Amino acid sequence: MDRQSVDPTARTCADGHLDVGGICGLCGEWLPVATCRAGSCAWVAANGERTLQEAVDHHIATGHSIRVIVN
Amino acid sequence: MLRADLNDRLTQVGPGTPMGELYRRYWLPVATETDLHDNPVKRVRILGEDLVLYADDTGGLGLVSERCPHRGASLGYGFPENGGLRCPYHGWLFDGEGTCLEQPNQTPDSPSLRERSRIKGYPVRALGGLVFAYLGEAPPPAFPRFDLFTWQEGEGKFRDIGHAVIPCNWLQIMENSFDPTHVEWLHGRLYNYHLGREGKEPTVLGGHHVKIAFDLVEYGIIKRRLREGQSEEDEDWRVGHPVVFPNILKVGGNGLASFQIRVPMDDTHTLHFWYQWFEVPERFADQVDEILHLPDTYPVTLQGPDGSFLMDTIDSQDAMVWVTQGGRTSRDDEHLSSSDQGIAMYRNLLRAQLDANANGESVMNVLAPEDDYVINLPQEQKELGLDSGTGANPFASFLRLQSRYSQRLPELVRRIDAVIADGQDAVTSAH
Ligand code: FES
Ligand SMILES: [Fe+2]
Ligand SMILES: [Zn+2]
Ligand SMILES: [Zn+2]
Repeated sequence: MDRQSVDPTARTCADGHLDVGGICGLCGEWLPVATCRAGSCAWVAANGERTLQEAVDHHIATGHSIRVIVN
Repeated sequence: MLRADLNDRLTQVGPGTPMGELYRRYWLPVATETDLHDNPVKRVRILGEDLVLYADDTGGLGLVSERCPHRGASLGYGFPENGGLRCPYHGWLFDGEGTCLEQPNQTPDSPSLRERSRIKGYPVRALGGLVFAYLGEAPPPAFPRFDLFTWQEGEGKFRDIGHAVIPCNWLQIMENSFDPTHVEWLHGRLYNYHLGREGKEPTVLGGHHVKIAFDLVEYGIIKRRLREGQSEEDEDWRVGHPVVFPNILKVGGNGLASFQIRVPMDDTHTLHFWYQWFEVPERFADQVDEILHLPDTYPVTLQGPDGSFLMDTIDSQDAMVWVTQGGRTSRDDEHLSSSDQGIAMYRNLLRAQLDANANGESVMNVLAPEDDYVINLPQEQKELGLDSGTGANPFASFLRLQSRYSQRLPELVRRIDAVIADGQDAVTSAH
């Protein structure tokens, strides 16, 4: 995975493992989706554990609010 | 999991450490006004520094190093005089900026010895019943006027401030504020286990979390929860409640709005304030005037005589899990699960703010000196809220919090019980 390839539909970890309740059932990597709440901004991240880091970086760069939901 | 070196970076708060420098950008509460009124000289330990907070004889406040530069005695046993603090040993006098004003037995007077005897002095400011200090470089930022700090007592409203020294690192306490699901276990199932053993009614806090969410916003992170039986219209989900970066949790319910403020004393101790405002329904509002003469400050008991944590308040349950992780827990051996993503978001936010601070960039909630506005914070009106409509004392449930150690709240509960009993007598005799 590279930091540019944000795929909001990604539901597997880098190893192609399965999402089990927001976490990879095999390797334990998180699979959260972070969504920007600013009306005009379509920023979304679903890059495993890096998602949360990228959410913080996007917030700091833009001031936009970001939501992460864990089911 | 967090590598040991990253754990050090996030947890250590002494002078010169990255997190210590970040905390030195904020006004931090160090005592209550009531405590200082009762005893105007108070030793405090903040961010690894031993200090003395005092109210001088002109009403001014000062915060200086504890160690006297003469021969090292503690200024914490000194006394206020001549607009400053005198050392208990030989009477050297210091002002709030740490300037040595007098060295009474030095003859002749030596301006250069006085100059070499300067100690640290930090700005201090009182607001909303708390005394705040700023340990960073001048000039201090604007004081962030988060809503509750600006409220006024009267008309059915009063404040109550509990405090305790928690013997563990501050981050363990803060991470708990990003951990919604612990409520269903620690304050739900575990609490009910203990209540059941005592033959008492269970709490309502055991509901299973269907989903949780974390919103990164301009002042911090808002957390939300949706439990079984709730809908997305429920305030727990729709409104949630925030953590104000870096160290304040806002939480409450109907009748209660509170901040839990965590001030690092050093790497293994945290000064914890439960800063609470109660709003009493109109029917009982008169009773507030009858308790305002009682102190608004009280120490909170979290452990029993044998040192084990009490399991009978929500707050002592929390303290148990904060402290039993260890004085400063390791994180390279943890196993985070999907419900820990709020914790990961917060750690990432800390990491980013440490970087910003190191690079001289702006930092969350450090306001320019002229930005002296009130910041209103959301808070759902449900969890822990008043039990309305049952005819029971609406404030009794707050005695399941550390408020049971307060002087004001238990007295209010007694008074409300009496009003309710009177009302029932009136109803009975009318029939
Ligand atoms: S189950 Fe979370 S610390 Fe043990
Ligand atoms: Fe808790
Ligand atoms: Zn995997
Ligand atoms: Zn955005």
